[in-house]
Amino acid sequence: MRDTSTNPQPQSPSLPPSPGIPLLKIEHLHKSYGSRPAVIDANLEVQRGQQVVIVGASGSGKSTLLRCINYLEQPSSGQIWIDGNPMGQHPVQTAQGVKWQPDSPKQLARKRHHVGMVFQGFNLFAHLSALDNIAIGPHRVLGRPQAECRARARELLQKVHLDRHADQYPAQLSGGEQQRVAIARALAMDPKLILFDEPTSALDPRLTHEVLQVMQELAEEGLTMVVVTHEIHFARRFADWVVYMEQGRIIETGLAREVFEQPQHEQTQRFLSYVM
Amino acid sequence: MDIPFMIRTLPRLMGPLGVTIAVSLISLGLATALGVALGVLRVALRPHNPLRWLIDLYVEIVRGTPIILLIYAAHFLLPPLLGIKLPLFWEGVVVLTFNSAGYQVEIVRAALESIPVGQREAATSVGMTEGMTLWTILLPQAARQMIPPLTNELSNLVKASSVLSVVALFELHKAGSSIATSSFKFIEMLALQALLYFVVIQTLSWCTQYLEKRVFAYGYKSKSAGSEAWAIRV
Repeated sequence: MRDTSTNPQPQSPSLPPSPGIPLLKIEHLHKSYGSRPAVIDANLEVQRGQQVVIVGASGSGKSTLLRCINYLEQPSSGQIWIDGNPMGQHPVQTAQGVKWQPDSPKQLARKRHHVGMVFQGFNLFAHLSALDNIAIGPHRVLGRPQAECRARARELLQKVHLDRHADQYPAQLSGGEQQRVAIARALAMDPKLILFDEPTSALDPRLTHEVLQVMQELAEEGLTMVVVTHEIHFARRFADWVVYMEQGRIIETGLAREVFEQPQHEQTQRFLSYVM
Repeated sequence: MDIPFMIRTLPRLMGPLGVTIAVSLISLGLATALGVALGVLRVALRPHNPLRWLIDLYVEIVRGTPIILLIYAAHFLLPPLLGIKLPLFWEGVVVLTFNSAGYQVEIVRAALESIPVGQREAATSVGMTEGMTLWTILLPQAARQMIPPLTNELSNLVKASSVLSVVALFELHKAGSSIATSSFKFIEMLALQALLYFVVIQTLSWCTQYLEKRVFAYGYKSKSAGSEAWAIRV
């Protein structure tokens, strides 16, 4: 059950975005499956233009935390804020004061498209060409004309160096190509941030390199990204901020440089000693 | 076997063959429309929705009732219940549609549920609503999965139409049998019917194979030709 009593009441939840508000704020997030906790009291702030990497062993709750951000998993309690807007619920003015109501599926869908997502298994729409995979979101969800969406999709394919593969189906593309189309699909919605859930775990080193290169380019353009990855060497180069998770808890967060060079916590030190 | 007799009789079976094809194709069209609509609804509805329970009940009734009983039911029960007597042909369409749609609900449901959950998650992540996801992402992919079992269903439907002979619809089997009883050429007439049913079903199954390999190909090679296109998918 959702524990709404722990939600701090914001002064004005739907203020226009201002530089002071973090783009993503996670407050006291808990997620459990039955009695098994997956994420315990996670707190995190991501600023506009930041690249945050979440590292940790398998089963440490990284992916669950990521999937809670866009409500692919509904948090058990806690609150997510995207650019000052609460995800999953909204305040309603009543006679007794401000009350929180859960979002309807439609309201949730409207909030979700501000958050892009790239999956470990790519999850390209198998019945659509690369171009239409990218164009369908803006066309169907944002109601933009199809021709405009396709033209934009072509630009995005160029951006991920796949302009020659526009008409191919996912089954005809390599894993690295599929993942780059998936990144373009996320970009097409003009999201405020993109979540990457182990984007290269299903790829060999060469294909991994292709995908990481595109991510690096996007980072240089200032896209806000939250990345769950096992590619520690990439994370070191790429991230501003690092989050280390173990057994559902955030153990350590800090500037990438500092955490990788001088981890403060024993658990982080141990984990990094395995992978670096 | 009297082959010249069979050749001579063939033209007399063309009219009844047309009835068989017409009753089957019209029923197939209606049953597919109904089956897809109910199958999608079955997947979209929440577990405790009474409509979902009704759809399940309908499927169980169809599955548990021999077609011959459904035909008698339509013939003897429908007129007093509805107060109108449908022409035999349309009575046949009603029964075949009712029967086939029940199976197709399950085909559609199974196909929709076989689409990997990642497809739904990806659609959700770009901001699609559940309905939009179902119609624009899941159903087109499920269509490809549905074709082989629908081809089975189509051939069942054509063959089931022969049972309409029990209420004297003058379709292929009824016509063949009546010629057999008047000419005493039983083996010849049975062989001729078998051949004609085979040709009809084979032609239809070629059409569905075309749909699977061309219209709903989505860049996949045929399963037998190359495994690599399948292997790429995660």
